[in-house]
Amino acid sequence: MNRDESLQQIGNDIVALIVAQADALGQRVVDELEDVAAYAAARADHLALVVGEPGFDQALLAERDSVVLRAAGSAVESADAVDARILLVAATALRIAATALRVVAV
Amino acid sequence: MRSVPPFAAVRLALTLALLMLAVCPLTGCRQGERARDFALVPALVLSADGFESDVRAGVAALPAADRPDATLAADAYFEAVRSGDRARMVAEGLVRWAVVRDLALAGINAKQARGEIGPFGAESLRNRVLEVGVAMDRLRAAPPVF
Repeated sequence: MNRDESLQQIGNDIVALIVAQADALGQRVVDELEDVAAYAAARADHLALVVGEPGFDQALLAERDSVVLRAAGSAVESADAVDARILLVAATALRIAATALRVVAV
Repeated sequence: MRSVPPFAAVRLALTLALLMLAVCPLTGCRQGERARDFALVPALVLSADGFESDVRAGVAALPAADRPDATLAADAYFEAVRSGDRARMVAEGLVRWAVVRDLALAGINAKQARGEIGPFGAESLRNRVLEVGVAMDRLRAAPPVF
């Protein structure tokens, strides 16, 4: 592979890196939202069992709290994933840049 | 070393790397902290009222000699949580989590034993204890992952 081809490959690697990270992140957010929706549905199903029991109001409040806490936790996980991927892209971009410098220095 | 030629790939790599380095400490790498402060902390504050009812029931179920220490732990925990200050919630709340969790579970058992709540309702309350515990643990920022 000559130098131009090497540099072209490096450019392709960078684009592929960014696209892959963006796709993975987007899919993760979708997955997290679906998980929260499924959790909320499951808790609603459980709440139906509580109807007629004493303390329904306490159970209702507890289920609301649980769903809110789960949704907030999911938001934190997604945000942590964003941070981790940004750091990953930065670190990888630096490595690619170092490779590019070595290629042009040959 | 020769000067860097204006090849698009090299420019892109260097620009991207430097941009990431410049932006990351300012905003890009703090999404997790923001989510903790603006979603998780309010969720924990919201859940404090219902959860405290379970914890106080647990304190009441203790032998009289054990109640003062348990009350102090519960007071400190809920003051920290209701402050809405994440650092305080970690420093003063998370350290008391194990005690508060056990009190809450004991309180739910006591409520169920005296017929204040049914078995399915008790499961809802126990599930909230689990979710509060996970949320408390998530208050701490995650370490960077490479």
